[in-house]
Amino acid sequence: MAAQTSHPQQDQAAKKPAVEFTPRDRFLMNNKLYQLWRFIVLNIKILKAVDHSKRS
Amino acid sequence: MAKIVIVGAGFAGHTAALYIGHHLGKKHEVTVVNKYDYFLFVPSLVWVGVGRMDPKKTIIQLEPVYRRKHVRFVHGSLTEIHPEPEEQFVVVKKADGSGTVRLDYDYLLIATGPYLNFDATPGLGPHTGNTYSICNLEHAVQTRDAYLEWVKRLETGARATFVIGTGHGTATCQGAAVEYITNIHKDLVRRGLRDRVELIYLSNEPALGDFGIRGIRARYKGRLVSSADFMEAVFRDFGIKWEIGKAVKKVEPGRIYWEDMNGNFGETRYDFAMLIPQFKGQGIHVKVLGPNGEDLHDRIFNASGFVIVDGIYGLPFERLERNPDAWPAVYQNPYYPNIFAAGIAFAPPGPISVPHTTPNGTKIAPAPPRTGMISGIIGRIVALNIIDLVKKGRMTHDERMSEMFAACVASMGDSLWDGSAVVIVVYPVVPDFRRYPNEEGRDLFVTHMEMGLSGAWMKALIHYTFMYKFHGYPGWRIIPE
Repeated sequence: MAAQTSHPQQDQAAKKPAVEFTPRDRFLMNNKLYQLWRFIVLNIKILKAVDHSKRS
Repeated sequence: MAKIVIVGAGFAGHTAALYIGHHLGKKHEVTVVNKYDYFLFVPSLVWVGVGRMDPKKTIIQLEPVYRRKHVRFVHGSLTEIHPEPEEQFVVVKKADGSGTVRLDYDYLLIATGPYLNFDATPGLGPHTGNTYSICNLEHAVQTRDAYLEWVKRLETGARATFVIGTGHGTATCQGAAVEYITNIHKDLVRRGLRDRVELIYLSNEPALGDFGIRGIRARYKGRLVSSADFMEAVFRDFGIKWEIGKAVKKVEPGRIYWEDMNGNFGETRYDFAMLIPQFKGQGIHVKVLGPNGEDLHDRIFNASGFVIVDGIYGLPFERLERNPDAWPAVYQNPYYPNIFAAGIAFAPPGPISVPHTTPNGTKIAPAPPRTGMISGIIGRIVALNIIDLVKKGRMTHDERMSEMFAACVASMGDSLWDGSAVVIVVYPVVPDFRRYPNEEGRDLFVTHMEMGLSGAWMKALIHYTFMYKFHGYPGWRIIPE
């Protein structure tokens, strides 16, 4: 039951990717300690951006 | 005593009602009209749609909240506006079928959200039994039931193709479709069924990660990368195929027919599909009448039912993209200055993404998103201006989408242990090439994009803090929109 398209799609696998997640990236994406650090950074980033925007 | 009527209690309308009720509720007459008696936290419907969240956790009953804020609530739908100075009232059809009610106003805020225009694509929508939607609670529950039905079949050894995306060339809310397909991926992985399903993302975006805002570029691992490259990496990682730049023209059982940007026609087969329809404004169902019954509809609403406000309309895209001031600042109707619009209800001056017309004349142009945070911000600005007008007689707040910051957290699995989300911070939402003379027209120090478990925590934090805010509990105003 594979999907079929009458218009051939680009070979997505063959294209050289500009961004690729390495095993290290994947490890960091789910590393609790590192993600706690990112969570704090992201919150500060968003609060700073809220402050930076007009918010008139 | 001023009379303020707010029509719609979504992100924009409910935010405005909380502010106006807080500041004016005790001394003035504030009324909210909504066709549902609850506020719906739409961003969490992606979790409802995969059975990962109880629908009850996404709603707030409005009446108890408004009682505390001294706001009257009318459960019904707007049918008529009489905007001329000698009249200034709206007619609301009550939801309980007990007839209509007339509400006089000094200030009217229209925040009615989208009309889901499934009819623009033959065969699209839950009413046809072909495709599903997660745009409202009823649809999300139907979609969940259909999805879980498929899960049962997969468990007995079936294989299937799921297609998620947009169902029209000018649809918006691609972010919700991305969230839904990635949440399905995670759910199927968790159930050990992922290898039995082919997941296809089918969208009208010119590139992955466009999201109707022309995509973004942000620093990732020390270099500038586009949201297209980033989202491609995510989809490759999840084994999700993508078909982009496609306007869905028709849906039949098992087949989605589309046209691509080069004018080629084709089809994608599916077993289960969730496609977001074109959005129109609710204004297409509202009569606007003068004292002698004359039709004044085109003074408030454009042909698509969106409210005309203080933007510059009709500019060709090449001029619009170079003129950030074309985007409305105070969301006020030019004919009737006491009528405002917020959220999806206001008519944007044009697209943010580069629009495309195929050689056959089909428009493939993702509409600008005005949901979630953007809706909330606009709701607050309009509310503060109405408060100003009542108290001081003049407005002191303005914010164009070309001056607005937005954060988007796209869930890719809800688990707080092994879930994930892409966090996108974008400033400004509409590129401003005058202030930021780079390729993006955006502030590259603020604009940011990353993925990880912390995003899943952010998404959960947003759900619970916003549900707290929208209950109007103590301190609700310190939580930013």
